[in-house]
Amino acid sequence: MTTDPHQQKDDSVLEQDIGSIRSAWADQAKEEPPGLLDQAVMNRAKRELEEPGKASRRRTSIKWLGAFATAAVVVLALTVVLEQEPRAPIPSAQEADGLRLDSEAPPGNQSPARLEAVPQKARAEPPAEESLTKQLLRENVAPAATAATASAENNTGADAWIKQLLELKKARQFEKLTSELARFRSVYPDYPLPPELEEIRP
Amino acid sequence: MKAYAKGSMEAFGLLYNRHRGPLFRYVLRLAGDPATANDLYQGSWEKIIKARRAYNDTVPFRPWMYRIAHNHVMDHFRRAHPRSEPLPDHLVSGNSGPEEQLQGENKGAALRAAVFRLPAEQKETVLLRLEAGLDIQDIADVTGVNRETAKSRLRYAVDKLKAELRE
Repeated sequence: MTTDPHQQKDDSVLEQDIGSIRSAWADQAKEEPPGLLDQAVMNRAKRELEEPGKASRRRTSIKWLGAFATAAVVVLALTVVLEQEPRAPIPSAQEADGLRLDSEAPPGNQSPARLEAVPQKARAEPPAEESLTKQLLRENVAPAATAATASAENNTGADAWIKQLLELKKARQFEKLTSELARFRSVYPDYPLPPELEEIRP
Repeated sequence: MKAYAKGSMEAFGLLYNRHRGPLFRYVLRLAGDPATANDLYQGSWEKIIKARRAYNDTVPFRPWMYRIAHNHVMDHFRRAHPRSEPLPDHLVSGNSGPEEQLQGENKGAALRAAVFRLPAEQKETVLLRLEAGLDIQDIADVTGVNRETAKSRLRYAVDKLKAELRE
């Protein structure tokens, strides 16, 4: 280590001092690791020897899982795209709300809970707007004056609705007729109207 | 270690039996309490086992093993006491347990209590000498300091211990 005689002397003095301490140190109890700890270390050492094979198998399976997951996502995305079909124009959620309010009793009599609950439902299921309209009509029991409107829309389409519009005209409910006609136009923009309704502009 | 790295559990068994006691006591003296010492001891061996392929048999096994254990213990205390210096003196010194309260009864207990009271760096240096049996150069390698620093720490520690034993 060192060739300096002074340092060598210094080292030997230190070694002597350490020697005297070491003898006192050796007197004290010699703690040993618990048996369970020994066993745990030995088991760990054994496992480590077996692990390389296992580890590489695990890596392979993880790679395979990754590829499988990617393929599954692609297939799912394609399925969703292919399942999309063109739909007839349908009333928006706001229009559905308007319909509901129209078909209910006057606003003063409406329950706040219902006012809130229905638009939430409409927003929760946007793709089903058409059926939502029907559902709204079913759920919200309309007064007699609007019951026919609801059933016309519910049952079908434009012809029944036009029939109802004509009835409104006959009953001289022009305000209601105008709003219903506007709604009809928003749902069926190109559907030909009979001349007696054509002259009424929303 | 090379034999174990090649797959011999028997070689590991021999190695383990040779070093288990000194390494355990080294960790125990540093940690100060048996529960922490058990964790650190097991963790040290796990790291030694994992590092088996990195072991180069041109260097002696014992300093290499103690270096891994030393780093593991230091990491533990840095995590537990981020602002403290390498070893938390307050954890293992001054505040001695019932066993250390009997320090006047025999030399061994008095010496152990004196070691507990040493500053952290002197304590780990003297433990590497007394428990692990490493020479000054190996202690310097394990603790990451130069030889003179290791020797100086050992000198201070030994002087204090001698003084304690004289009292």
